[in-house]
Amino acid sequence: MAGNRSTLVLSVVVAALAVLPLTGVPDHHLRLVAEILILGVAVMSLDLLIGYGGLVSLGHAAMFGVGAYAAALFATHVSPDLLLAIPAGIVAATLVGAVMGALVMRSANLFLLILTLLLSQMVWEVIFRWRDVTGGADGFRGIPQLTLPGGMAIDSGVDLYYVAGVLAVGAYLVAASFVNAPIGKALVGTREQPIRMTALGYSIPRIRLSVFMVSSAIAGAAGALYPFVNLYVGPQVAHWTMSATLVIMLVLGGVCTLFGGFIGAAIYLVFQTHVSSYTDRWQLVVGLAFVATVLFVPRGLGRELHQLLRPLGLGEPRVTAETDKKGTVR
Amino acid sequence: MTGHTSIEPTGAGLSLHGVRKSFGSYTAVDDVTLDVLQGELLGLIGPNGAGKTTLFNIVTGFVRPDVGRVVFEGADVTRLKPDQRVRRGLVRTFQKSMVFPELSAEENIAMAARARQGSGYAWWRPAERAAEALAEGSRLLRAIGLERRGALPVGALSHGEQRMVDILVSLALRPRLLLMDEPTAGLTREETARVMDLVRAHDRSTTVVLIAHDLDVVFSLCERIAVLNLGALLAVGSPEEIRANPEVRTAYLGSHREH
Ligand SMILES: Nc1ncnc2c1ncn2[C@@H]1O[C@H](COP(=O)(O)OP(=O)(O)OP(=O)(O)O)[C@@H](O)[C@H]1O
Ligand SMILES: [Mg+2]
Repeated sequence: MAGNRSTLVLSVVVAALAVLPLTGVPDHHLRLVAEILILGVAVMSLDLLIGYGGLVSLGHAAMFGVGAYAAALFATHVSPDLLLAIPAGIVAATLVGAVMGALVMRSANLFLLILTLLLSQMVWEVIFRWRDVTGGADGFRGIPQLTLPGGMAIDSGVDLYYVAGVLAVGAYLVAASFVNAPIGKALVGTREQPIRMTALGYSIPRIRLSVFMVSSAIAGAAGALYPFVNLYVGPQVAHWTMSATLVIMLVLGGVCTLFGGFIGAAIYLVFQTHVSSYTDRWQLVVGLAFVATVLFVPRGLGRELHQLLRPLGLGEPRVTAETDKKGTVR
Repeated sequence: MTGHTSIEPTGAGLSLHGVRKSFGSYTAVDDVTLDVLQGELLGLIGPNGAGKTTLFNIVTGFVRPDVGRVVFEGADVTRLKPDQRVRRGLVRTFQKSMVFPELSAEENIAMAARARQGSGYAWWRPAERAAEALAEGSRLLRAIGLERRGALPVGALSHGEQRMVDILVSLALRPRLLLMDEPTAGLTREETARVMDLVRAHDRSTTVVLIAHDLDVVFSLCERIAVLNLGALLAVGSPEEIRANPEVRTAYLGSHREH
């Protein structure tokens, strides 16, 4: 699906990201961009569920949080090697995602939203109460810096930025290959015409479980890098309000685009960083931006941007069909 | 595939044993026992609300019967989920066509072809499987004369063309038993003939059950006809027998003519 021109666009974006540190951007700005890339990956993974699967989860922070704690604990107690600590986060998040997916794969709509919320809050409770291991409400401190396999520490904003960049590109390629593969098409099929998909012999729970696991793995990868931005992780990363923040970022950036996740994360974090220095009410500003997006750019900024980029041949988003969603079999 | 040798019904492809289904106090399907013979084309007729679609829902697993058993090719499938039955070759179409309007006709058919190939859940797969699935789409579209429309989103096609694509999607599943719920509604005479020719030519060993309100279609095409009225099976027999049946005449054919 990804034509030559969309590969070109991706290459240009990657090249621009690669040379950004050479332009003399201050280190703390690079740290902010790194955070945007990390959260963007988490939002993009949520897009697989919400945008492509029509599965509105309010529990995605559980996977992000488990990835974060697992990587932080692994780095502290076992090895700070990047190539071991990040996979540790991915594995832990995928396991939690598999359990959550298995429990919710037969539900949809509001019921799914509430179930994911409840299950993720149970994860949060565990993190919050298990003081000896996680540090409880105080959060987990004393995390070592990640190291490259050679032993070189990832200690500057630039280093972190490059690691986050590699993570973002890798995660994007994984997610894009998923949505373009048969499984991704089947996923959109279950969103559009679940009854038809069943009548084609597809098992809808199986498709939902797959997307939950893939999406959890990607969220876990993002979460795994997150503690190393500030060498600290607190239980709020797994809280349902974090899940809600990810949903807001997704809507701001545009559902069903994948890259919209990065735009949404950028808008949100830039607001948080810059507006919060002028007013304590920055969340109100974000809220207003959210409402304005829903009212005036309902398809999200990512989609509008996509329209502009269309002549460049950026991958086709899966548009929602105006189909009759009546559940009755006629 | 039996080729073009004569197709003698060899036994029951599908058997319903005392199937009943009530919605609240209303019995939509009432103690239906019926054998559909392997390879035959059976017409299922009856007035509106007779329970025809409900019977299809029971056979395909979308509705669980209150009592009774559904036996498909010798195996009791009453407890199987709809998608499990489809993978055994028990395929249906819907009264209201159900396509993916945003996808092209070829992609619609490929979605079915991949399900049948077993590559429907694949993430990384060899390119030739993908090409195969799309080729199946082109082949079927060509067979019905829609090859020029194959790349358009199905939502942009005419009503009749959409119905035809819907049926091609079901054929791409290579059904052993195909249940067609009013496939010809909204089609012209000529389109109806094309569709039914294709269904029969597709694989002569496929058993077909056809619901249609157009009695001319049913009486001219079907080898046997079953009549449903108020959920109960009124009669099963050859077109001549059904035409001559006095009960059928009073319950259905007579009243139908008055419309
Ligand atoms: N899910 C359901 N819940 C309640 N009642 C139902 C349900 N499905 C069908 N019915 C009722 O069962 C009866 C039989 O319906 P069914 O759709 O099987 O008839 P039909 O023979 O297919 O009619 P038509 O020719 O109009 O398509 C109708 O009275 C219908 O209202
Ligand atoms: Mg009906």
